[in-house]
Amino acid sequence: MIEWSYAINQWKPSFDDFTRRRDHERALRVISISGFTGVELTTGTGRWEPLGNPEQLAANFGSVRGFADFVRDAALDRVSSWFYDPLLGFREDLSAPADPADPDAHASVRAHATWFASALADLGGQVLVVRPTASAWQRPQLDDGAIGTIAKCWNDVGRAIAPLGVRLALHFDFLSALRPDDGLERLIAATDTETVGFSVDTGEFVAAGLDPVAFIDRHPHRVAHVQLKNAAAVDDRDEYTRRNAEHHVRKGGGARPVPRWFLELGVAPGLVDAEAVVRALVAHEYDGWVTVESDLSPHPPTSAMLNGWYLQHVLQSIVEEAR
Amino acid sequence: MKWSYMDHWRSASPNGPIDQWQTLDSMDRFLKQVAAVGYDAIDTFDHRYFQIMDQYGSVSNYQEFVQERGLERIVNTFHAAVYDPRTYAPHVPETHANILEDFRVTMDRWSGISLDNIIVMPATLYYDMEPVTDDKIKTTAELWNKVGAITLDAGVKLTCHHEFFCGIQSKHELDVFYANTDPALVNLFVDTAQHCIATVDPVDFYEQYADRVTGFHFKDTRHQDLVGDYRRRPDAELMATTTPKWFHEMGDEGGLVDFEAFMRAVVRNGYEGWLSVEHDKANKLGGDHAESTAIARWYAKNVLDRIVAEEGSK
Amino acid sequence: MTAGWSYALNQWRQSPTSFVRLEEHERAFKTVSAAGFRAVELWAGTGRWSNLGRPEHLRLNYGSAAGFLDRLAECGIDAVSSLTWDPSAPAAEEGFELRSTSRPADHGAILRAAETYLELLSELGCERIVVRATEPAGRLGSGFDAAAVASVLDRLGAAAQDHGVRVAVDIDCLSPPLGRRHRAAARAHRQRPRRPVAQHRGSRRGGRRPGLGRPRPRGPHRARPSQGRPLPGRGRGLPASGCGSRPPAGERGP
Repeated sequence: MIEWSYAINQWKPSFDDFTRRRDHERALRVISISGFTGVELTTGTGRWEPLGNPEQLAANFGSVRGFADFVRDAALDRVSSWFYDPLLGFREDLSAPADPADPDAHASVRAHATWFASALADLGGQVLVVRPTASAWQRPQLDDGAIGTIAKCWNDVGRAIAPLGVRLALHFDFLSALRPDDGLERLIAATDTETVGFSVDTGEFVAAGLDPVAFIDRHPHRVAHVQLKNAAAVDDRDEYTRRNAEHHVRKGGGARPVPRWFLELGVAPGLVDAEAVVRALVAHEYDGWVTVESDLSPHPPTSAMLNGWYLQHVLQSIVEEAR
Repeated sequence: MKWSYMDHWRSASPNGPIDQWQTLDSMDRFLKQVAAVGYDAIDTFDHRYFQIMDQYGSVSNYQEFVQERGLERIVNTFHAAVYDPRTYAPHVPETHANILEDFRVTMDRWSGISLDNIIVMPATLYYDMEPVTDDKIKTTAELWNKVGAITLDAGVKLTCHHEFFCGIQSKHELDVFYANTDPALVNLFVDTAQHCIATVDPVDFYEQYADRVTGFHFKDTRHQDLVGDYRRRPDAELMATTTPKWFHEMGDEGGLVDFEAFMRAVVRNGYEGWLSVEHDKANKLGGDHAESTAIARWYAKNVLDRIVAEEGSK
Repeated sequence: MTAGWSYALNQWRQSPTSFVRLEEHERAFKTVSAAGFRAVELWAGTGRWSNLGRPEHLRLNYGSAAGFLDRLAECGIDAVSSLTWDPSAPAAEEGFELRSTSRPADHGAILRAAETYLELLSELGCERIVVRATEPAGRLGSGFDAAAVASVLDRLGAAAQDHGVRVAVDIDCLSPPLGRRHRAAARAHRQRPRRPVAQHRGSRRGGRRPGLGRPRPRGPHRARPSQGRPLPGRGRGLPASGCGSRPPAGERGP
């Protein structure tokens, strides 16, 4: 069965936004009334990231379970998933950024992943979505040895969190070091089919020139999570290799520039065929969360509401027809 | 209980804030957002007629556009007249012919669809009616009895919405007005925030006139007018001394309206009809119409629906 | 006259309900001043939410035209440079008449409506009224009477001159194209003796305005002298968030 959640990351465009309880409450209520039943969190660190990690949840809501109550009070069922990027360090334990391509960082990645997965289990969540490695400009070449090191890291994490009832989903994005030389497919081949799944982020796939439907058809049993969002452009100039591409390309739009890489579902001139994605998931009997995302939205409530309309009036009927 | 959303909207555009009537695309996005959060219909202003004719060709075409996005229909229209004691003022008998003709024209323009109510502010701005006397209110009531006959002939109820800054807004003024209007022709549309601002308890007021009520604006406020803002020249609504933002969405923090008590009264009185949500000027002080519209609907679904169930089971 | 730089306030009026409160005006005036401009351009409007665009509301909010000038001065603005006015825009205060400069029958109403503004501009010491020549081409149609337009603009110029104000005609991107026939008609009208009418093509183009006197001085911006001020008998400026006509307090108890 497909369950629908919404990513909260769009509500926090910069470090000093979205810190107050009222902001969180209103965002969760907008998600709920727009037709979603879960929320996906994003990791963060420090006192201005109240939803960023288990310690901050406890500091702001009494405990992780206190936050679960807060989510339910907003008429959402649960936290569906948590997005974790190991290349961000944590002030809470003074930990440095940890790169899965570096064997010395594996212990830190595993410890932090377990920290989040444990909290996620308390929140009723089921998927830890992770960024598997650095951006391409940071690691321009991932040879088979490096892919093997990254795979080992995530195989270990997958085994560590499986007993918690939490699945691991490696999330590919259009700036990823996995983009050149078929890195994504090589990582799929190198990871454990039982404990390491993948997250299909439709907007990121299309921006990277990949076909998300073909990926689902090719690896249906490795799809552990879906982030559904529209894309407005393809990075067909290899701008992802530019230094600090996160700033210059993703947020700055690159040389063209692209005003918004990502759009709401079903909106012209979007390039993602969301209906085809859902049909593919249904055809392969996908059982899990689809998180609708609108990161970098200029207007988060509107994005959530327009995506909610598309969910209710277009996508849900595809799921229901298949029943 | 079915919910309708009243027209007010602003969104960002490359040319600054726009309302939903700017383009077909901005209307499409507005209607989808309203439908997404569970409203069943919309209300509008009848002065939108000109934009409707320009962009959609007819009122019924526009309603089809609304329906294609998952909303049932247009329920009510608000007749936002520009009052002027020289030409168009309910307490000035010499202007009544103009007003009556305006309603004949308006009802003809909207005859292509079926409306429940046409909503009016039944008096001019307070300062244009001062001193407000019982005689002026009776003159005003005579006019609306005649207008009510015109609208009813077109199958639409005339209903009165008392802004806190209009000439009939205190409890005494309201009582005089309703004592002198025909219940078959002139109805009441309770705006919870407007009465609250005017220091008239909306629950008590509704209970007193429940049999004349044909609709509501569920809307909140954090302030009552205790300093005479209602008669402020040139404007009370945006330029008040008390606050730059009178209106807040239902379900926001700090509101003065007791919506749970109000909804219990609505159920207790057996009201059968549409409930409208309004939060005009929600974008003031950094507010956002889309978010407010979602928050109000969340409150209706998650708090008021429970009240309806509880009260209905008694 | 001395050429100077002014900033149009219309950009702050993003919707009918915006830029209504006096504290919003104050912030705009200070922003304009801080950006190096010493004068502002007003624009005509309608209704009680257009309180810089209607003379009666401006006077009500600031006590008088002089009170408004005081407020501007407190914010670092020396003068009102100009006011833009579209005679074809319906105004509630004038019965929502749909007037056209191309229709001689409307000219009387246009001149009467202009008088309200000219009186204010005179009080403000403002020397320019920028008048939109016609309604947009889409409303006007192709067969409009250019001679009639020229005629009413001339009469407006004469009326303005009586108030010490000059008319600058505004042509914008929606204005009708003037074909050979229109130009000929207007030329024929212009054969008659007349008072001068300047042409204004919009300050945003940054070019010299034809007919507006000598060229701008080069080099650093110069503040325009506060011509026309002070006016005799005007009162003190109002407090920052004050209003010209505060209602009596305490009439409605809780």
